[in-house]
Amino acid sequence: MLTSKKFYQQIGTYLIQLIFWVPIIFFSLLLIRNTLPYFDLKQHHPFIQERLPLFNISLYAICFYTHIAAGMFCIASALFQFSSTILKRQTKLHVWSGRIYVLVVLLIGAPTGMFMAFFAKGSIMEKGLFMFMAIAWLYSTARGLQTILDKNVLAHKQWMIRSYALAMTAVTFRIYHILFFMADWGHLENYEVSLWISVLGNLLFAEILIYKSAKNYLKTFLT
Amino acid sequence: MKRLIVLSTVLFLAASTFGIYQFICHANNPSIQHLYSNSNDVGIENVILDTSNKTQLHDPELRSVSKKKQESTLHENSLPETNGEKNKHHTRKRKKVTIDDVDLKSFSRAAPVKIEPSVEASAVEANEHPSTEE
Repeated sequence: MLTSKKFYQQIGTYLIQLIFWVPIIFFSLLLIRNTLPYFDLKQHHPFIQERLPLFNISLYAICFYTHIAAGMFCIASALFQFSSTILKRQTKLHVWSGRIYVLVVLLIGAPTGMFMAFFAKGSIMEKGLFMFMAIAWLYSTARGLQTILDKNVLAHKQWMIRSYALAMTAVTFRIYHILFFMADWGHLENYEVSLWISVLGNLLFAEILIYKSAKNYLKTFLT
Repeated sequence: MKRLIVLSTVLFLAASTFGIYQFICHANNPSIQHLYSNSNDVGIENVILDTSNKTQLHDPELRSVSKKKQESTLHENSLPETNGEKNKHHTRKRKKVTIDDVDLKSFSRAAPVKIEPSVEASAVEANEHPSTEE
């Protein structure tokens, strides 16, 4: 009786993980695929067309291309981070993809994101949100690195969940944006709502996960 | 590890400083300040899904292609007919419609009808305002 209960519990856990991870992997790969055409360095892409005067600022153009390249590596490498199977059987893969993720975020992703935040679409609130994201992304990733070097695995896990939640706003933002677009929302309100929901939603989800696993939730911010 | 964090912090601060500097530099540049004021999205949706028709309409390239198509169709329509050769697909002769041609019973189902101004005027004359009649 007990074993069958355990068996069903295990199947339930696998199913939940499958429902959670399959869309994440799918949309992450799709985002990477749709980023690739930007490297033809031409200006006909919709995102660039909308910001054409900004691309006359050479620093902005450099930041943009390095940011999307960093984003691709970051999202791809992060896919290997949360699998316990990879962690147990392919530890080296976890370590190396983790190193790539951390380097890319700390040296490219967050700084270029911060620069681009000054010219982000939306009001001062949206610009502020992008800046907050860049700071939080840098801080959480740095803390994730520091904790694993201190061999504090639990804290490392918690900080990397926060970091990954921030990285995934690129994906969730587009999902919300498409959904609201299909619901015929006006463009700017769609953009703003999608942005806020994706950032706050992802952070809230990460904090719920951490809260459930942590004995003392508030302490997770200090370790 | 310390070096990496110091380096990333320095890079981050440099990016912030350059961001502020560039932002101030372009504070009076109208093309940048009003960058998104007329934005109706040039298709950020197709960063993920570029298969939807709705999204494709936002693509400036596709828009220009469809414009060209429209223009070429218009051009074809304006071509003169030669030797009785008719461009059946593109020529539509507009038939003059008078009030007698309209089937009033099936009016609700009928396609919108253009009434010639002269006919319309006579119809108005026939139904003069009840207040003036009184």
